[in-house]
Amino acid sequence: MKDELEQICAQALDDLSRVEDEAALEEFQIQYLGRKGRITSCMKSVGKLPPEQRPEMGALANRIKGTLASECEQCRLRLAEAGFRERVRRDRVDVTLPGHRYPRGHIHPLTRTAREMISIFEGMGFVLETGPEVETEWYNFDALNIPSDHPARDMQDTLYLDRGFLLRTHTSPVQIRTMERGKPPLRMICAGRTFRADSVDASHSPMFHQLEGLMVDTDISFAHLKAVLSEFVRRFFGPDTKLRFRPSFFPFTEPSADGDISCIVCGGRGCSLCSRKGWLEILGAGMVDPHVFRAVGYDPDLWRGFAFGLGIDRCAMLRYGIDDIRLFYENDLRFLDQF
Amino acid sequence: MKATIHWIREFTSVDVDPRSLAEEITLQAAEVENVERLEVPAGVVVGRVRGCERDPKLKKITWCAVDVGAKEPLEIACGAGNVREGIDVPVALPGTVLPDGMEVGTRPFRGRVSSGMICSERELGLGDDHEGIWELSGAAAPGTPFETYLKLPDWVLDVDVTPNRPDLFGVLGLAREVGARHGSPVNDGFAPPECAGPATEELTDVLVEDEELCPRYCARLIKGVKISPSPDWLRKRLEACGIRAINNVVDATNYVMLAVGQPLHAFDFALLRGGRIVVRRGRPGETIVSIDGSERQVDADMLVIADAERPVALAGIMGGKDSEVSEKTVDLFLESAYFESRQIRRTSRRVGLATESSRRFERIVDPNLAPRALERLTGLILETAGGQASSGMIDTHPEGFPRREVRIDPARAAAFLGVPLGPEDIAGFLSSIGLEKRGADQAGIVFSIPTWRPDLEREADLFEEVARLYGYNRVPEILPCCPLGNAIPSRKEGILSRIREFFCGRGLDEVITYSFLGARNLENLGLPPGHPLREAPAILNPVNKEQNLLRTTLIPGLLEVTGLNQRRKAADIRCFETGAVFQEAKDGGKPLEKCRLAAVLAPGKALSHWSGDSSRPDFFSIKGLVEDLCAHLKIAAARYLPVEDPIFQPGQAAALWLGDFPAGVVGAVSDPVVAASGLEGPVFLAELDLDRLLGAAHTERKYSRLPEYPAVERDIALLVDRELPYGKVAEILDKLRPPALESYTLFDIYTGDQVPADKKSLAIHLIYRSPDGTLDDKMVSSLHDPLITELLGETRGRLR
Repeated sequence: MKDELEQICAQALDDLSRVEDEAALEEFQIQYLGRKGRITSCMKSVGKLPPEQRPEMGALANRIKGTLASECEQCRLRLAEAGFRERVRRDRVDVTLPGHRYPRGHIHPLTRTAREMISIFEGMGFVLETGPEVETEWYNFDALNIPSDHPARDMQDTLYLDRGFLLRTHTSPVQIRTMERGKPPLRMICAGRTFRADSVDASHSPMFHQLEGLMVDTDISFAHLKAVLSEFVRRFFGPDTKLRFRPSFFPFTEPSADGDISCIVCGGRGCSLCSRKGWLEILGAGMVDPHVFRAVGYDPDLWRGFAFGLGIDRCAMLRYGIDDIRLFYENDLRFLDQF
Repeated sequence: MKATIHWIREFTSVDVDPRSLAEEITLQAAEVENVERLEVPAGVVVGRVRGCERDPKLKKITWCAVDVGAKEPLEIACGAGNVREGIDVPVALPGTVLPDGMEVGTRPFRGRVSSGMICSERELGLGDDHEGIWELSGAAAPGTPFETYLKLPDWVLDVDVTPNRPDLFGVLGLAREVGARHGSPVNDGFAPPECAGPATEELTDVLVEDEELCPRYCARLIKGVKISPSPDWLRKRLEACGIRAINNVVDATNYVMLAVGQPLHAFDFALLRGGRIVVRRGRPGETIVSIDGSERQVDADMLVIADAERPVALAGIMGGKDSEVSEKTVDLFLESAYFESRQIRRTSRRVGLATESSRRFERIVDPNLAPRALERLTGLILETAGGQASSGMIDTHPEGFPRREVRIDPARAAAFLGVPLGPEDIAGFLSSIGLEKRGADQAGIVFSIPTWRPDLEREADLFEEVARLYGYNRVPEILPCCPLGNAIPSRKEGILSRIREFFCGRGLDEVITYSFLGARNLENLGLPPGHPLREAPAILNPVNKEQNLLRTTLIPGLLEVTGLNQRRKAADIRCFETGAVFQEAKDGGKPLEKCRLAAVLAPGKALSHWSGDSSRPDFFSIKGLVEDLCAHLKIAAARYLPVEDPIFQPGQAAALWLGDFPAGVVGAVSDPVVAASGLEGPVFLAELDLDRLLGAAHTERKYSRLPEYPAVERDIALLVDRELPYGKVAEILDKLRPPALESYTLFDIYTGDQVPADKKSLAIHLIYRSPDGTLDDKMVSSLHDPLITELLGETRGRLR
């Protein structure tokens, strides 16, 4: 028995030294150490020996089993080590080769700009509203105090459809629709497409985008309007940007103002972007004209309000340094992929 | 409107540098878009040609002795044909640098020495005239600096006058603003002209037939004028303000118009038949040849100035060629009238003629200005053209027009502007621009409004005046205080943002294309007559004929973007757009406006990755995109059914159905459409109805417990007819689905040697799981086996 055990042990160690892979090791373990393995069966036969031999043989069998188990573990480590070295050799890559690039899409710069502008005003409690792009003369003109013989209604400015319908020339009709739908006090904005019969060049497009704002309450003042727009300008163009108001004229506001920001390139000293003026016009604004309140059935003696309109295309061009409005509508992917 | 600083200062003497003055006007009244300095190079003086001598050899050259106020005349060689003894000319003395950079010197020339240069207008940078040297028309001593002679240097302001401020269409109006700011009085006085002739009424007659359209008409004659060029300074000032100088009479009408804002006209009195004027509506069949040489039809909707027989002017717009002032003119009939603004605008638009005159009348001219402007004009013509003016004038409304009264409540004004202003402040501001306080009571102060400010009608209009004069930029910035909590974000915008982010995450770029289409776009789509996408609303006055319709679909825009980027050799093209499309309303009402979403996948010039991986798009790329979008929006009931659509390749298009409603099409663009659009195929498109998607979308998210018990997986290989759509199998599985069937996935389709030719094998992986405990084999079989049996029955298939 002792000889047999020692012979098994010697052969096992010899076999183990020839094990080259995980599968062979597995095989080895089953052959010697498994439930039906040779060591196990030897150990089972220890019970059949005379009682005086059992302790010695049992101990020997256990020792051999222990030795083989530990040798197996050594072998496993050796194989793992070799396998690792082999994988390293095989899987080495030229890390300077280009990687797999997953395509990334881009939000259009006008959408990005509009979203950013909207979120600034939403942060001040203005509610985003929408309205149709095909409008009636009432919403686009009459309700906004633009009478039928006003130059803004000339064919050359407005794109007309059949039966007196037209493409909205500004987002201001949404003011009217919102006031009709709702009740004062209210704070709303609207952003969207607007249309004029302009031929295309670097700064004109028959389609462009506006952001409109309106606030109505009992005690609104011109000072409030200035503060809200200054706040916007600082948040959108940077904390040092200044806003100045100039007298202007819109039939739907009185007083009316054009708003200029201090030039974002030269800060006001004068450069080619601002035509040496130091200022860039970006908005029109004013206090809601009493005619407009009457058109929507609000009592102008009770309610006051301000309204403003910003050019989204203009803001995007200034923000990103774009010098040609046509780029927005041409959709060259090399342009879009920059945003 | 252009005006010069000197001219403004003639009305109010303020000592402010020109650029600051321009800035002040911008911030108080109207934007000064440009300031241009008018100057003459230093070293140019007035010279008098004392003697001329032809060069003996070079016929073109004249040797001139020119008195420039020095002891000795300069000897100057001059090549101009019009040089002659006795005339005054501008002389650039040696050392002068002309605007084109040339330095005038003392040069030897053909054995003599020429010192200095006699200049043309163009050489001095003061005009286009280069016909010959500039013969000066005014009197000045030789040696007078030319700047002094022309009242230069001066600065031309280009003012963008808003439609509500007709008063700013005269230099006087700008001067009133400047004067108000500086507390400097405005003096629009002038020496009354000497009118020594017979009374105007004895010489001519004016009949206004339509007083509504012509509330006031003033007229006077000047007999015996001498037509000639205007003095140089006047000519230069007109030209600086953008008006071509013609002759002393026409220039005088324009000069006074620019000065005070009143359009004026001078007729050659000898050419007015019957020697009288009738202001009336046009008559059918009448025509007039206007001064610009065009023959124009007139009709009863137009107001004309006629003589006894025929129209001689389109009232307030342009005079007639037949009665215009020319070199032969001796007697003048001067018109200074007030025409109703809307009538002028209508006529101007109808005849397509906008003039300096019509621009002013259509914005409402001061009705009390006409007689005063006529006096001013008379004086200027007498000064520059001589003659004898008739005494008095014809004025059809001599009592004038009253001033309007408007009340302003100082407390309301202060609250409206957010500025603590008292009644005195407000009265002070309003008085500074010519309003007069008429009284005050509990309700406020009543002011009378000067007739040159037709825009001031209501209290709000006066608020604006107070704000302007106080200074828009002195108004403080005060953020409004109001209750929180009514900014409910728009659901639609929220979902649109999610959709945009979804597509960007999947590698698609957002595009924005025009809302217009041309007929060609629809032709390219191969739409049969009567197709709904052909029901595009037409634009009556399109910018161009390629953009004369409103888009009925986003597809043409995406195809154009695809084409542009393919031509520009872009890598793969993946784009999407969201936006409105339009359709003519069946009932003849407002065109319908619907929200659409479209995406395109098309090949570009992208090279494959060095590793050999490539991902060419196919039908299932675009469909997968839409499926993922629906999953992203938690739209459960999406089904895809084969559809025939002229835009899409037969057999490669599916309609998306949400419940019982079609919500769009996905597929491959048909070969003819790809070819007609000039694209490289294959192109894959989806166009979806955003309103339907938004209606079916669920944006709220709710956590569901992760499964606690293991799943049991089964695979089947289902042999069915080759023509059976997979959708049929999925539909049956969905219908029969036991609750424990968590999901199933198609993972292989086999056709080939191992199956009959008319069959295909669908390999489907099914996952069973119960939330209540571990399923054992038996339990799964009790669910799976009947399911498969029924599936086989319904598909007439068998397992392989």
